[in-house]
Amino acid sequence: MHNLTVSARDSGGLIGSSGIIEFSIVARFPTELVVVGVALAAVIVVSFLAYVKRESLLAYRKKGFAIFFQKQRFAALGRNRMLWTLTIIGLSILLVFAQFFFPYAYYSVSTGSANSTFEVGVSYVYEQDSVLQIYDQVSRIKEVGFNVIRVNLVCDSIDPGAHINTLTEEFFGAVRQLGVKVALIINNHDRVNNINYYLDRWGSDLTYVQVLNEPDVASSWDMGALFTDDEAGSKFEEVFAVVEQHQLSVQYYTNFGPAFVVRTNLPIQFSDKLDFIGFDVFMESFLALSPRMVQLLQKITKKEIVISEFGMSTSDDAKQADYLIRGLNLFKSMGLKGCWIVYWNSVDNVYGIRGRLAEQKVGEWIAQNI
Amino acid sequence: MRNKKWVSGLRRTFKLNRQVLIHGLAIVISLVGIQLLLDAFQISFFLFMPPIGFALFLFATYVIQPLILGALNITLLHRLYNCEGWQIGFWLNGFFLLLIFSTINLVIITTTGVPFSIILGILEVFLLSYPFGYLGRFSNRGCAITPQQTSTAPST
Repeated sequence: MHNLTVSARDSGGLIGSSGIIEFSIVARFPTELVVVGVALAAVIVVSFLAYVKRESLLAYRKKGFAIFFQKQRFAALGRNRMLWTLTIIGLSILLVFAQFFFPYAYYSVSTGSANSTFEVGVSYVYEQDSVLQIYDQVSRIKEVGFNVIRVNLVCDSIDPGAHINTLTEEFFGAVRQLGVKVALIINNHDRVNNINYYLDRWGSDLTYVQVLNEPDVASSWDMGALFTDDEAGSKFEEVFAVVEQHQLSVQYYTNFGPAFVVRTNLPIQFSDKLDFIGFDVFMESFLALSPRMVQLLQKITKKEIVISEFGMSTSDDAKQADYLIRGLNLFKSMGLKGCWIVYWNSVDNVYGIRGRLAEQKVGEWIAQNI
Repeated sequence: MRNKKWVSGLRRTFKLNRQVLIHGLAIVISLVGIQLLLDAFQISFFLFMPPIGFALFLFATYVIQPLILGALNITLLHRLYNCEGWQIGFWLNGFFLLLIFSTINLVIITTTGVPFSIILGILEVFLLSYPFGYLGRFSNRGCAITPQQTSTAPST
């Protein structure tokens, strides 16, 4: 890790210094080494084959190499069982790669099926801001161009005058005034009392309600202990029944991580009661695989898909902005309902885009594309 | 003289090879049929004692289906081209044909947004039979049966 401080002097002789900028230098991928290694391996293999076939080569040399290119020679190569098996295996490997990456490659360059009503949202952790900040932040989020704000269910059902309730009241006051859609996350361990209290008090201001968060990888009774299918199913039924009692005019969804691929029964079971499905995308690798996974999720649930969590935790502003813009372009061209970025702000990690290059770039992207 | 050759060559180029067509038709109809069956039962597979159903679905798709296709392709090669033996194994041959077919379907669903259905399947039977006849022949081959041969020898 390196530290950098930038100082500048203006024409009047005043000197200003930046804060400490932390950065690290990562060794780049050794392309030359890999190319040289592959070339060396190819030379060794060819030399070995030439050694093994030295007598045949000698015969060809005597007869002239022209006979090597005769039609019969190619026919003989075609009949070579080992060569043919290797050819088919090679082509099969190429096709497997095409199956994994073709949709990503296609949607990265095409805008063919772009959805005209694409919604860009952001997760706002307002409980980490002060009461005085909240209105300004909601206003700024709207100015950037986001039309959905995704929030955690934070309230105190026992003490109505608790500080956390004041924060939530302030947030919904701003939302009502500014006209922004709100998506509420009901987490896996939120208490029924709190859910009822929250929905009674602020339920009418909600547009979307998320029932459980990534049940495919959620922990049940302890860290690392995953929900069994029965637990996930019964928890979903329990929470859904509580929310349904309030008869809100909202759309229901549940979000899943890439692990749904091995627990496909969960989205299938839940989708009957949901209006759309959320899919969470983190890391470059899953961004590249996301079109394939979204296709599978659409196929098994027959519902619209929203990218409900999309972000990158990095202190490299340019890298984060580039990743988010590439993702937004990809998801829009896939014709999805929307993409919600995580997070607007966060004190526990480096996902937050507030005041960073990503905020500006995403704002510009929304202005150009929505 | 030169013209005559050229005309006969042209005729040969456009003449539909019945063996290739029958070969491709049998393979594409099998691929479409199996794909429709798997699609119809996919949800039932996924909901059957998870994750056993999911594993069974993968097994049916990537083990049983290629074996059926590979065996069918080799049988067709033997019957239509009067040969015996085979060059690559049943599973690999079927897997290769399955990969080509599923990649074509993936390209269709990605570029047009049209999911696989019976209508698309029928369309594919018409459009892909002839190319798949050549692919089936390309992907595997046996040895021609010579008149003096009395017993089946493994191909090399």
